[in-house]
Amino acid sequence: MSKGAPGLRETAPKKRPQGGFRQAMAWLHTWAGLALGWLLFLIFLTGTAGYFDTEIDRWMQPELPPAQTHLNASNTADLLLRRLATDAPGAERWFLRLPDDRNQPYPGIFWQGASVEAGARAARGSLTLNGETGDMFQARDTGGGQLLYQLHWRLHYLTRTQADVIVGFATLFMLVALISGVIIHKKIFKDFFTFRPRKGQRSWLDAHNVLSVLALPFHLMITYSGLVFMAFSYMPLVVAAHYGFGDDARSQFFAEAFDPPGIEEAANETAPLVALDPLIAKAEKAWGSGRVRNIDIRHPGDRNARILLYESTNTSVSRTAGLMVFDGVSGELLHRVAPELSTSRGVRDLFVGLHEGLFAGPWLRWLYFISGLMGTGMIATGLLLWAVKRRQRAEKATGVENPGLRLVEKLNVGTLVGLPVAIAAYFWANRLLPAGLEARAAWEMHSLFITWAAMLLYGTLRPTKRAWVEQLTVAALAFALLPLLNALTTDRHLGASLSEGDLILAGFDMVMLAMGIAWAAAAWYLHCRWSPVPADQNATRSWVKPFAPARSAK
Amino acid sequence: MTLPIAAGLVFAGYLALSLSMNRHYRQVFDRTLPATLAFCFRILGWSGLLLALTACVVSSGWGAGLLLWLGLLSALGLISVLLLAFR
Repeated sequence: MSKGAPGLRETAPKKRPQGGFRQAMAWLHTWAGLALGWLLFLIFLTGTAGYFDTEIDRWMQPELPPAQTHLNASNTADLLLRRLATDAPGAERWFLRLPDDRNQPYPGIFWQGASVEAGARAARGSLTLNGETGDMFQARDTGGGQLLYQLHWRLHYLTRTQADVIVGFATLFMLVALISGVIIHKKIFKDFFTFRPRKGQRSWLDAHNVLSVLALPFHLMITYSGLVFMAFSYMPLVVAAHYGFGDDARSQFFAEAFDPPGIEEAANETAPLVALDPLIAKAEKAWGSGRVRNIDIRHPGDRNARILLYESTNTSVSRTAGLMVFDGVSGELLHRVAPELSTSRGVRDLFVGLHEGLFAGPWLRWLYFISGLMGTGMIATGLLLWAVKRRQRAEKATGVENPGLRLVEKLNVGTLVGLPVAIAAYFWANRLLPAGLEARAAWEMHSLFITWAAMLLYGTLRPTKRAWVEQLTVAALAFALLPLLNALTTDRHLGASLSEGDLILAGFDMVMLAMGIAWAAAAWYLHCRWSPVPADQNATRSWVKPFAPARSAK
Repeated sequence: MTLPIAAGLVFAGYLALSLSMNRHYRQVFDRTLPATLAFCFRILGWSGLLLALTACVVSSGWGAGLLLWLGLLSALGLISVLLLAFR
């Protein structure tokens, strides 16, 4: 895109790509980017928030204690097993989650096919438990960071298939936009450090280029690996060629590709379940202390019971982990599955692992987060650039206003600022909705979409420039006041969490405050730039402007 | 401890690389960049980036180390760009 001002006209609207590979690519980049830009903005923004999903979970359930990753695996497993025996007798499957790192901060259980006649709570269910006491946590109902990050591929209101089709299509276009963007950017190295502020369209193009190029490895990785997640939905024929068509064939493929070995049908003969302690000891001997993450028990209490121990996935980039399959009655080790089964499985696990970043420690996690924000900014600046370019041209031509341009401008202000405000509204709803509200978690998410719709509507009702300044002000208040709201509605205010060294809660509050300040700076900057200057008060203008006037060009 | 070292190396490498370009050298020093100096800056810049890569890989292995390095390149690149623009 960096061709200098004259060259940019090559991508004029309604002009067919004419001659030259690069022009065709510029056309493709412009229109593919525009068509899916707002959806991709949502995907990138909520996906980026997802790198702090469990931290957001924690803030949205301030009743919970800090993560319980220090607990001893055997004791926790015993506690969870006792709970399953009382809550889910006669189940086909018991699943024990041991807290091992930030991705799994508390112990939990999950069961399937339990017998309600025998006294089970429900046929299937899941619980998060306090590892210190064995009791259930009493906390508000919330979608938490999980629902927020799932928004980036489930789109919340759609079915799984609809969301897969739409998100997959958008991801494909993201890849197209990235590759065509690299092709049309002639001076990747020469312009590597170039950002010329206060030069209108030129500045937006510089910002778009800088955000794209600097984090290009991340953008390519995240987009390509996003496609890998959906390979089975998007290339069903590869599976069909080997397994045939239909649901049965697909289930057979998934069973062969992903199911653990050595699982048997229930024999319907009772036999006592072997003690877990020696199995955990065996696994910890192989993997290291505290590295058993999940215990999956199939047909507990049956002669054909199997106990599967899964290793933590947090040491390697690739989302692969060791697995041990034990006989659930004799305790004999039946299978030991190495992390990597095959090359293709290894490649898939690598891309999935890279995308999710579950292995990342705090520093790398922050770098993931910053790269994600740069991707979000790349999309935002691309959308703004489209509008700024055409607005300048429309003003020069002094013709009738282009309705398409107006639409893009309204969608820009309503989404690029409106969606962040809507995410803040999700957090506000978490603190303000009454604790006993029916479907409380769902209403948190409704609040997000209602706020977004309101911001879009507001943008259409106000002149575009006023809408920008006003919505940025709303964003500043919505984020900066969150720590205050937290202090007023809970006892976990910033002072308390800082003095207790609770870095997760304190970190959330401080990041919100920082974002509020950033939005406020943007609002103030635009307010000063765009405020009409009375002709007789030109002298007072200089103190209103927070930034020095443009330097002379070099 | 590796992280601050690697971050410092990447940042220094970026500054040297930007100064090896006439446009940015003029921004900072207001005169034309001598060719020999440009060459030195380029060598210094790339060595900074490569040393940082070595530090990351040695401390965290190829997988996480490479990612750490790329993440530092992105984040510190942004800071370098903003420093040059609003110096």
